[in-house]
Amino acid sequence: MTTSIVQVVPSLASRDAIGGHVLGIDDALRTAGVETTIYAGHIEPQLAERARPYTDLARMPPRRDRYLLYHSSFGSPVGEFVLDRPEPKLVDYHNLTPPEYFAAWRPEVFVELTAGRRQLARLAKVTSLALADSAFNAGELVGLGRGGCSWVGWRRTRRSMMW
Amino acid sequence: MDASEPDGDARPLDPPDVRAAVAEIEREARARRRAGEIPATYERELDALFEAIAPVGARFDSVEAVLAQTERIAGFDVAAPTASNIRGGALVKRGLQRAVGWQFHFFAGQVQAFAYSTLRALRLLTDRVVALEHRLPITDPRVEAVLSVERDRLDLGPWLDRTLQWCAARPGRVLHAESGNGALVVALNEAGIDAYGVDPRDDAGAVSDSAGVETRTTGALEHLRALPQGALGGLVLSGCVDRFALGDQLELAKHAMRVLAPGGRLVVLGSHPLHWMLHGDPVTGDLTFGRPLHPETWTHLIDELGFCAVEHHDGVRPGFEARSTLSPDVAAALDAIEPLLFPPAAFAVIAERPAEPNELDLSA
Repeated sequence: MTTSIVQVVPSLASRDAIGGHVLGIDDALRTAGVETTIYAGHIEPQLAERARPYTDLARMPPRRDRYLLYHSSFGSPVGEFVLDRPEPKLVDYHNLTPPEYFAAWRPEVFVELTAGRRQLARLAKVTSLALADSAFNAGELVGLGRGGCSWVGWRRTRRSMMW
Repeated sequence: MDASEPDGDARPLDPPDVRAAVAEIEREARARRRAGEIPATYERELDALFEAIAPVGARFDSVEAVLAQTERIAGFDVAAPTASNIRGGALVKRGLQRAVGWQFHFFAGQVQAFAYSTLRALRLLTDRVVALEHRLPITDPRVEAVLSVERDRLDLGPWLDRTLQWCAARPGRVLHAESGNGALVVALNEAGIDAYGVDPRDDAGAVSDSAGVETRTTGALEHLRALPQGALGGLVLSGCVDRFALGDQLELAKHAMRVLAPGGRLVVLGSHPLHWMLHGDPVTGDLTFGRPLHPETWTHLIDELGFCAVEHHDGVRPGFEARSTLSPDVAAALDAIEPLLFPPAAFAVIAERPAEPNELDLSA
């Protein structure tokens, strides 16, 4: 069987750093001949053909040779769907702003970010590989108990740099 | 801007309908749950996180629910988290915790005892207030649930001419609360008196647009509370004086004294309570929270507040006819019972705010 990598992201938008990163990985995997799909919580209408709703993850039959690559940037029910899957998991950590900055002013954002940190901590313990886009972010993952973590500079193309 | 000043061309934005917004959010949340988009455990986690940082009572609007939330967070955990992102930080934190933990336990015990005692007192007080509310018709939500009929408002037609005279040449704008269809406000403006109205009906704005007068959609008390001292030259009260509960009627009178300028005129146009009971809808009469006061009561209240030149005028009173054919004894008996059988439909109590009023305590 061919190895498959499924990317899962809370929100997929074209003019967005994480969105561009996900689409770039998708392009690179396809070029390398790797079977890949994107599942997202919110999908920008222009990208409707490139991603599927994250709720479809629950109906996806499990496969041993499939890896789930979750992009973590804030708390999201999408992360729970990934945690519930039996496939081996990878996490690409894009940084979570410390929630305490928002507690007094935007409590709903505080709640999201705190839930995101808890989600990340649970993910860090069950992932085969963790990726981060900076040494700082990699350090956070190590602090959460993720023993080995690789940090990889973001793939940037002319297209992803255009706003 | 003074709350009594005329509106400019710009209309203020309507206040947001919070209940409608919350209902819409609840609908969307239910739809997303049904679609399986939000795992129940995740939603519970979010609720618990929000409850931990939200002000007490932010999620609930009943005193019992707020008390329950307060009781949940009243327990103090002196074992603070010792995790750290810094190498060795956790070890240092645990060491510090062991070194000074005995002191925190000592203080926490006292604070916790105080918290539980206070909560217990609040719980007892809440139980008594809830019991009182269920016994007083004025606040019983069961009564409000079955009260759906609104009584007809007083016909001000017979009072227009006299009200124009009473409100003429006053030191400031004249407010009519509640202005209803705007007829009195129109008449006042046409007589050269600068007047505006307030009315809680949702269509008050439409009334003012069609009548070409200034009417604001708000309650009488809400508006009077916002007015500064001495803002008005005249205040005409009608509608609200037939409907308000006793406490609100008293507050109306106090605010009248405060917001009228020296020399300002107060006009109370009310339904006579006897006529109101005899000729109004009996169901509404039994169930409604408020009811009109007697003109003698208004006279007493206004006099006690320090108004001067207090006068009481009754409306037209129907009565027995053909007295000339009756014997003097019978006529005398009819004279005695006529006020009971044929009370006037309405009355007016007018007064003037003196130049040097008594000191007024509105804090009670």
